[in-house]
Amino acid sequence: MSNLSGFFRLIFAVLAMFAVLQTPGHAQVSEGRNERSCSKNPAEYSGFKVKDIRIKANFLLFSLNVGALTLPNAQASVRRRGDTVIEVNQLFSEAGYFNLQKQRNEDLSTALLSSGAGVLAILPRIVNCNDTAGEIEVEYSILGIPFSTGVAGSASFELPGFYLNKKKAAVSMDAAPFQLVPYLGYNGSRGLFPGVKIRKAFKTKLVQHFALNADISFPGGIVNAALAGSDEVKSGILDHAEWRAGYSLANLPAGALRLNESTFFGQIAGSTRPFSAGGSLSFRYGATFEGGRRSTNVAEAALPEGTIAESGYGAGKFYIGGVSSWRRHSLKVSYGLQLANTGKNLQVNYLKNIFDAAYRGRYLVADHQSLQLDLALSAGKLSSIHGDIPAAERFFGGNAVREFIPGDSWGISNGPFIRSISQNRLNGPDTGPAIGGDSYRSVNLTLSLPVWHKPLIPDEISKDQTVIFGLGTGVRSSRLALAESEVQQPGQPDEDDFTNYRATDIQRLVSILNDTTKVNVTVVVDSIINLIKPESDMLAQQVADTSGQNDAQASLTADLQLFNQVQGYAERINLFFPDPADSADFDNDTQYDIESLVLGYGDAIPAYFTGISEGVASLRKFYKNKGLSDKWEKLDLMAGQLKSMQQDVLKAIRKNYTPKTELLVRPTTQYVGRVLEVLFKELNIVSVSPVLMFDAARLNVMGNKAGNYGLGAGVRMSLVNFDVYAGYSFNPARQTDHKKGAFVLSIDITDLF
Amino acid sequence: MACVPFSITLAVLATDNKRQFSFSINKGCVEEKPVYVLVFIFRDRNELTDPFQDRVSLQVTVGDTDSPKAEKLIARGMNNAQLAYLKGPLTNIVEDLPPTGGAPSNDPTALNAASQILNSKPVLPS
Repeated sequence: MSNLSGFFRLIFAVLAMFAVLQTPGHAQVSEGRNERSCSKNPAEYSGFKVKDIRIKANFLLFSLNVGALTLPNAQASVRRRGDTVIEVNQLFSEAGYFNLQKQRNEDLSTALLSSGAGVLAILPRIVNCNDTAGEIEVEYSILGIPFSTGVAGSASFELPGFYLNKKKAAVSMDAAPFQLVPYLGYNGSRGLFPGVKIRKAFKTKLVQHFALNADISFPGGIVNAALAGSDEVKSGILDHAEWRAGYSLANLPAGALRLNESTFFGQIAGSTRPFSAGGSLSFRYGATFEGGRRSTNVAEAALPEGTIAESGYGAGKFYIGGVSSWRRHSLKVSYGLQLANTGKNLQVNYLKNIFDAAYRGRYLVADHQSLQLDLALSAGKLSSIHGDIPAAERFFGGNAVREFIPGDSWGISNGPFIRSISQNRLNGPDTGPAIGGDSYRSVNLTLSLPVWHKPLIPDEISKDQTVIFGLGTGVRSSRLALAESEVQQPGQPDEDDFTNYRATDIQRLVSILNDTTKVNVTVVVDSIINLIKPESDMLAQQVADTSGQNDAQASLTADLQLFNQVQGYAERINLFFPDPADSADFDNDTQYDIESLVLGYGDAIPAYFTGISEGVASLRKFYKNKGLSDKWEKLDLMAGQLKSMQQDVLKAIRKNYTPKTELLVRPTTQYVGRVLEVLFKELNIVSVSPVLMFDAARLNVMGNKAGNYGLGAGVRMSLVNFDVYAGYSFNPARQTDHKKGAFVLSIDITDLF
Repeated sequence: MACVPFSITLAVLATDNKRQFSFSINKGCVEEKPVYVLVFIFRDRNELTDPFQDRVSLQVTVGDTDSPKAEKLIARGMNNAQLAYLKGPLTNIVEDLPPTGGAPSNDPTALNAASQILNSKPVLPS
């Protein structure tokens, strides 16, 4: 869960999103109305009145000059050429409909080129047709995906999108020359505390911004002021560098104690380049050198031996960490080491070790319903080396934890986090010294599952065969372009490597697919097409016959869509099935055909064998309801044969040699597939999820154990990837000085890709 | 099955980072029949630090006889030979045309060359 700076990043991200979505004529979210595709040919709507024209670009990912791409501009461009174009409240014409589609495509192609390279798809649709009134609406759905080709050594994919990438949102926010943001916070320990964040940008190489965060509670407060800069070094081990220098002052309660910290600091940090496209694994490291004072309000005599109430402070803090993401999982692990003294000499008087890890997994239960699991583990130990330890340096737990390096963008906990206890109130056993721990452990678990959601991409688009196959075409073409681009890079293996690969490894896959002794794929596929034809034809006729009866037609259309899915994948298998005679020369595309058949590009563009199997499975209910279960079982048997063949080919692919260029290109293609998968299968424009929370924390206080656990429930409201959590966490076994529990209110941005 | 309009575009940056093109295939439905329009846009720059300049675009309306080929291109995507043709021979022809600032060119040789992309192994027309 994020801190306040995350909140501002988030606000920016959401505002940016709405700025895009609300631009007239550019992009609109479905406004709760039921979009109904009209199934007839466009020609049949000639002479109908156009009630509305919409551009649905709510999943457009590349940067655009929004103003230049509005609908009126596109219409004006078509008119300037002397061509017809459709307009609101005018009569529909197929030519005008197509001319506007071409113009949108031309405008957006130019925008795509300005992103470097990529794929763009446009799907025009006639929706909400009213045959009686002679009215229709027109919608152009757009998807754009940028990626890079042709840059030496970088088969990379980037999402410079408006709102789905928090990094970009943060960069945009940093560009504002001056910001002043007042805020009001609340914590059970501190009460209400007003605060302000000020940020001033500079255009020098060394210092790029000054940041001041300050809040005040009664008594006490926190002040952080720093000058900071960063640079993109772009070498493998140091891809990005950051530095900060400043001063921080904190006066915070910890039960009866008050913890006072006064610190001057200088920090440097770096991160490595992601070790595969999309940032699947990268490392972060840094060091901070600090000097100042540490004090508490407790008399020295009340503290145990080896702990002092007030002293000078000097420290070197070092940390290393890694963050990895794979499909719907991410893991961040950090280790921090603090070597410190009390300001009297250059000895290390004490040291602190911190281990901190956080895992997030999203498990897709159904389309657009992910069970989200957050698990955090943290542990720390404070050890005396030569002398005393300031009491303010001990570990204190609660629902707000000071970070190991305050203000650093790489957060590391510096104490046990437990949401049911107010800040710093986990500070000792029920009967014993409440002076903070010399070691701690904590675990936090959060589970949430959407119970109400509205998909970012409506089903009628995300399940539309034309869109899915069109995207498959685009991804396949771009994947080919990337491979070809890599082959041409200096120092890459020459074409012989590919020729050998195709003549041996790919040829072997072709032989397996063409081995009819096990499964005759084309015969099975044709049999499936023939078997479903009567029901498919009947449904198509019924859909036509129920034109105008919205509910009846919607149900039939949904069934027909399932049949079209099976037929579509079957036809694709026939189209892509490799010819043994054409698989070994450098220019052939058999490799990509097999990729489309058995591997696919993520769940949004599944392998054609997978698509047909899933399609047949989804027809079970229809056949059962019609009393045709025997027929479905035949279909299922044939789908099983195709699945078995797919498994055989996949096994062989795993044993294949992989050319180096393929290894460079695959992560990019996989990342594109993952992005589409998130957009098409997972992402909601808005969702509501119940949340369960469990926390357990233990402090070791001079040999005494102070442990507690919290159980809580709440709700998560999500707007795209912006999550607000609200709930309450209870203390089932509370200490006498602890309250029954605490309210939980936090925000977060999920890194979706 | 009803005719379904669709547009798909691939944009590619050449390995020298100085030339860039996009290729689109637009499928429309006019008078209950599919209509296909191919669009090839070429941009270039002299130095890596310069912005790209729109040079020439080609727009080819596919005739009835080539419609199945256009449909196949939409269904399968580009193959190696077609991509190589766009990046090589066709780009070379367009580079030699007088700049139109991105406006459609009516050079018959270039338009004829662009239409050849529909063939699975396109070659320059003689």
